[in-house]
Amino acid sequence: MRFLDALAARLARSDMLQALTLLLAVLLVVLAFSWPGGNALVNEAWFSLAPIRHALLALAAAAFGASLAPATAGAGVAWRHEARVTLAALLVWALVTLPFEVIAHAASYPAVSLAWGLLTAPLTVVAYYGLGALLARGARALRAAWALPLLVPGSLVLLAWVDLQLGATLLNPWTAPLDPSPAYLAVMGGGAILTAMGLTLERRPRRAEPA
Amino acid sequence: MCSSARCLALLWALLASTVALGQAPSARFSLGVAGQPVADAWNPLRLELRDAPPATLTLQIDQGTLRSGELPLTVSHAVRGGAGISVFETTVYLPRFARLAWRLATPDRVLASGSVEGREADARPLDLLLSNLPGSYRAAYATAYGPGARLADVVASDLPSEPAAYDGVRTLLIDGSAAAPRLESVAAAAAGGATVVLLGPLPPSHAELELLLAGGAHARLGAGAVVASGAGPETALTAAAALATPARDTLLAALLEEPLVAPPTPAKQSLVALALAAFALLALLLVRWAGAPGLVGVLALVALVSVVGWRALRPATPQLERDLTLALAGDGLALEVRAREVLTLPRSALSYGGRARPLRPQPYRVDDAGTHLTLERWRAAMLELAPRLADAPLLWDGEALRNVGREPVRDLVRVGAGPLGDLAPGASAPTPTEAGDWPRYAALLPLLPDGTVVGRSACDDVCTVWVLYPPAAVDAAAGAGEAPPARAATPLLTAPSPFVQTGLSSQGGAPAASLQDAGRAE
Repeated sequence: MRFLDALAARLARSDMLQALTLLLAVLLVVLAFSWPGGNALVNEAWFSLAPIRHALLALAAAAFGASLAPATAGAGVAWRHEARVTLAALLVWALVTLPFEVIAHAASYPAVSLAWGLLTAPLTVVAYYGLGALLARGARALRAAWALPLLVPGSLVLLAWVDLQLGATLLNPWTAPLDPSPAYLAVMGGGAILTAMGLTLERRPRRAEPA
Repeated sequence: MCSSARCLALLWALLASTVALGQAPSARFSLGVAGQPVADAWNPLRLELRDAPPATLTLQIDQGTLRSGELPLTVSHAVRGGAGISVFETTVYLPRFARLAWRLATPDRVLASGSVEGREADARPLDLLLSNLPGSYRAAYATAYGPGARLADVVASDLPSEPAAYDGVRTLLIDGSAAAPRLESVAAAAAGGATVVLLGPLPPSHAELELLLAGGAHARLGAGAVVASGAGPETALTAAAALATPARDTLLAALLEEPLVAPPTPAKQSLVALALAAFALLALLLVRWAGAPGLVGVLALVALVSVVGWRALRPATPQLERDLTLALAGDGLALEVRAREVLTLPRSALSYGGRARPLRPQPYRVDDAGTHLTLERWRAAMLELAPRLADAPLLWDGEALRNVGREPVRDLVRVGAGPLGDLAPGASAPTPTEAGDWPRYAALLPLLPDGTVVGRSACDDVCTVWVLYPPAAVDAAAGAGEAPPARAATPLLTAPSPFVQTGLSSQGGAPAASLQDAGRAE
């Protein structure tokens, strides 16, 4: 099965399709409500839409990453393939939601370049996907997998709080599109590289100790 | 008594300290003509330095009010200095201020500094007296202009030669009893908007000033006028008052009643929502039913919608700018005041070469490179560039109009007589057109005296509105003799600060200080 077919099949599965529908609906509502109507001339739509898009993409990536984390250290080839395809599907989400941001950006004319959003959205998705997987592995090690539905959004809130305390944009996907920051790029780039390594490098299972 | 050795030592120390004091750099700072600044007007700034190294002159002006809080205006210029005396001159716009502080400093130390409190700010126009008997004209000025006239005694060397420096000057009276001024300075005063009164008979040393009259007793020159009279100060000043014209700020505000630039019209909310909803639905259908080809189709659709949306909704430039110039013309010269409206879509730091000032109070900075201000998103600022002189294409040729310029003057209107039409280059008879008044004239025409001609030219890029007052002889003959209203406060300004007093103030019984500050070396 070609990767493209696998990707299309993954996107068409009900969990992803429903989540994508929800994401598009939210973005549509946000854009419609923030778009100037009547006699208003000032367009601030991008300032509402871009943070929501980035935050929802990060949340979805972390959630799917947590749901697909391997139960054991030596995960099988099938899991690895599934994880890669799911990550690629999430990157397609970033693309499918791009026109919303492009249109809002064009009409709002913020000082932030559109290229910043184009760059950070996929990095955020990959990095938060890895964060979700890490959270799931940790929760399972602590036999607290039941808490994952709380841990995933909680971790995003925690990271946003850390950013607020530091007074910088390092980890928070909500403020990242509004405040171009090389530090955020570095952190998300690092996270994306670690995630990619985790998905590509084979880890050998431990040999059994001789009796 | 002292011993000879002790006396010699004392004398040596005294001499050494005198020499040392004499060599210390000194600075003399003066703002306004003869150190009398006019608030809400362009004022000359002069800094005389002695033996000062190259330094930076910085003015910090707080133009805020209780309501607005601090609104800093910073003016900074590099001053060359050097051995001996050096003079630095420029023209700055002085708003009503709460506090003004100036400082002359090198990177290492402050050479001189001073400050002026806001109560010194006076927005009344100046009446300059170039005379050895300035006190004798107080009654005549009170008769012609009312008791609030702000008289200032000047000498010829006080008179700047830049027309913008006379923005706050109403009249300049020359009676020949003092040293003759330079012709350029007097011409600059008249062209800059002041009424020059030559109170005759003038001595031969002042003969060249009569060139400004072009053989008559009254003449308009640029935005101002020249009046000569030998019939006593009351008659001369009454004739001068009859030539008074509306304040430049008022005319500019009338022209700018309608904004120069319009923000881009946003696409309809419903249209954008429907288009994106259709895109989302199509993308979901393709993903759900069309497999891998559908996925490729979705990616193509994303690219299409993004590119089309970007091209359709993105304004061409982040800043929209448009200029409008008001030109007050007389005898071939015009005082041009250019207004520039800029609307910025993203938050921007804007810079313009030359001197300018925002018409509404806001923080800004002026330096050798130009004027700099920061605008928030989707905000507009109206700037007024410093007035400057230019050739005027419209002239009075007797009772007829003549266009001596290279461009046609369009939509001519004579106040009290109605539309005249267009005037081609070199022509003296307007060609009637079917077009009515230019809409921007609507608020301007009621402010102008009857007989004034208004026209416009080159409105494709920078629009210039020419205002040609009726010939001076006609006005003076009309001799209304009524005192014109005192210089109006800029209509675009907000309420004045309670810290700002427009009357002369004094501290501890001392006479009101002029804005001349002899800075002490620190």
